[in-house]
Amino acid sequence: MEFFTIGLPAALTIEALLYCLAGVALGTFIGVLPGLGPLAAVSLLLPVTVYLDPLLALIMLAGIYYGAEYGGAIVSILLNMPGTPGNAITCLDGYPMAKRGEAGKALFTAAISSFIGGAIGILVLQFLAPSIVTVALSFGAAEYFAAIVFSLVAASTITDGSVAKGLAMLGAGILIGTIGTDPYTGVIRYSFGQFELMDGVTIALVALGLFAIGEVVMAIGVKRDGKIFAVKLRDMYPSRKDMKSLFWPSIRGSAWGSFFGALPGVGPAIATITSYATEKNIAKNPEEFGTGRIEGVAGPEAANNAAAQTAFIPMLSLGIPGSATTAVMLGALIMNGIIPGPRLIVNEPELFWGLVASFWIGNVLLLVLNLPLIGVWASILRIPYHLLFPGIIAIMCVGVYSIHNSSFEVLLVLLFGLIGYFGRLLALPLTPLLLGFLLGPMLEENLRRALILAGGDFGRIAVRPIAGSLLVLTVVCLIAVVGLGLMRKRSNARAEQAA
Amino acid sequence: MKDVVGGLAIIAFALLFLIPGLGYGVGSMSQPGSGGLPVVAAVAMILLGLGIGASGFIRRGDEGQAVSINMSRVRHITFVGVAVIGFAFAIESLGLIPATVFAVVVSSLADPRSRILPTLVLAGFMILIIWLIFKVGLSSTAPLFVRPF
Repeated sequence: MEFFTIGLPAALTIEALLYCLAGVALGTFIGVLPGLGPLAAVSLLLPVTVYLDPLLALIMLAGIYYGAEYGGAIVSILLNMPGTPGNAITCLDGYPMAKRGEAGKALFTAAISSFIGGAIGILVLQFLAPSIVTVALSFGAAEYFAAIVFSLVAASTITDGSVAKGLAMLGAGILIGTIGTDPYTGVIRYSFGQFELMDGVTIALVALGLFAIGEVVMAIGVKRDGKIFAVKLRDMYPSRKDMKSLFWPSIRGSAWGSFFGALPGVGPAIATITSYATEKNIAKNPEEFGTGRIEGVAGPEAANNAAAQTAFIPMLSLGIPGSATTAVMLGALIMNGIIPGPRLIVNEPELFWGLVASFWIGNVLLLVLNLPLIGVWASILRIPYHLLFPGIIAIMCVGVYSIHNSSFEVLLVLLFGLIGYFGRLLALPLTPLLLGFLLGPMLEENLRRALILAGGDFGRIAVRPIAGSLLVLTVVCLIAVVGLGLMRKRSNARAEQAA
Repeated sequence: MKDVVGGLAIIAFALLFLIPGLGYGVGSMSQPGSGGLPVVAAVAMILLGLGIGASGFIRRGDEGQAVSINMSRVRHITFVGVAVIGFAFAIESLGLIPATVFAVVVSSLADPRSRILPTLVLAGFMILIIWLIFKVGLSSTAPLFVRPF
């Protein structure tokens, strides 16, 4: 009900519609653009959102995020290069279709399946988030602490597979998060003699350094070759048979995407792999996959868009983001003075329902943007990167400076940029660092409160049913990730011996 | 080599935070102090860093362990770094427009394919965009030019 009474009116104002359109158009653009992902784009806009109403800011940032999943499919199909990690699987059948002269059909399939995935993902978000809130409202400090630990450990270890590196980077993020005045004791921590650090580090600086500078510099000098296939709108009209063969894979892909998207650390990429494997398993002639099957585009494209929507569930219902991009968006809320957590939906119903309503509007806009305007997006692929990145660096500097008119913060962003760049060169994962930085203060606050309430006895935290099960789940998750890693190593070694 | 360097970097970072952290007061289990979480996190990082470094040392000959640092990478990060540092100083002493031009021109030098004329056109375009977003749209107070008096 709130969706119609609160959400739609909030999302249908002229301003909200304009920010939604700006977000999804920018997202498609970023998805198509090589060398700049949605994470970097959302970070780049973070300084701007300080000036905006929080709902408008979130509508735009979210639009960039799910818009990039649409745009990323275009590059996968036309250039055999994934626009975002969630579009990598789309290359497998999308690019062969383009080579065969069916680029239009593949793009049409991607757009429609993306829309189906997005719609199902929003429905799941709309119904699941408020029910999680009713449970989470009864959480005490112990439960909250355990939920943060589970989310951080899962998100730090699952994606990259290296438990030690993920946890070490998580520790680095938690340490950076403690910079500033300790609200409990008034002790100033790690200011290293700089008075600018006494209030702590703003999330915009960490996100921009790690993801904008790091990513932009890594992409300089990367060679792009390959032919870009031309597409005309006329080629995109699908036959009834095409529509039939894309429908069920899209539904199954949406289910995988909705499930994996909501879990911390799993995200769109794993959802697309699962969806592709499912379609291949149930196909009558699985050997045709990889040669340009509609199902191979439809399933994964539905999966990544569903996952992009359900990723908002933990972020909006618990205030605990499970991925770097949703963490940055939560940062935008924090910079706007909104306290994330289970009370968000209760206290700010307009923000939650307005955002959900904007997702519907945004997905419809994306369908309109992607189908008739495909030629425009394809031409963006021809912009050379050396004419892009200096502009990105300049706009990032101005954005950072404009937050507090502080040159010190521009230098600080560079420091995080160096961490981001060398972290990438040394294969150290950066998402755990960002999540640790954002959730570290919440983790510390709840741990302290829980310990004081339990009289210093950690056992009394662990025997609470919800807190205890979440901690056990954390350990199980760690063992599973380590075990899977060992198994993979052993089977690789066996394959080498056999060869 | 990759994991050896990575492990050492993690240990160095942790030590930077461990030493002051001990001075903040670790506290007790029932009354954790300001240094409690930082010290636990830093000690855990040191142990993990040792593990990462040691396993990297054992597998130092592996293919995935090579660190790919070459002259072009040094060029990329140096010019972008100088562009950002220069911007930070120029914005206060010269103003928004000179700082933007500096950032665009110097960072473009990171890529040997950049040519001066297209770069200057890009700089002009960026001034327009930045003026529209930050001055017109967000009424930022940063001055376009700083007068030297």
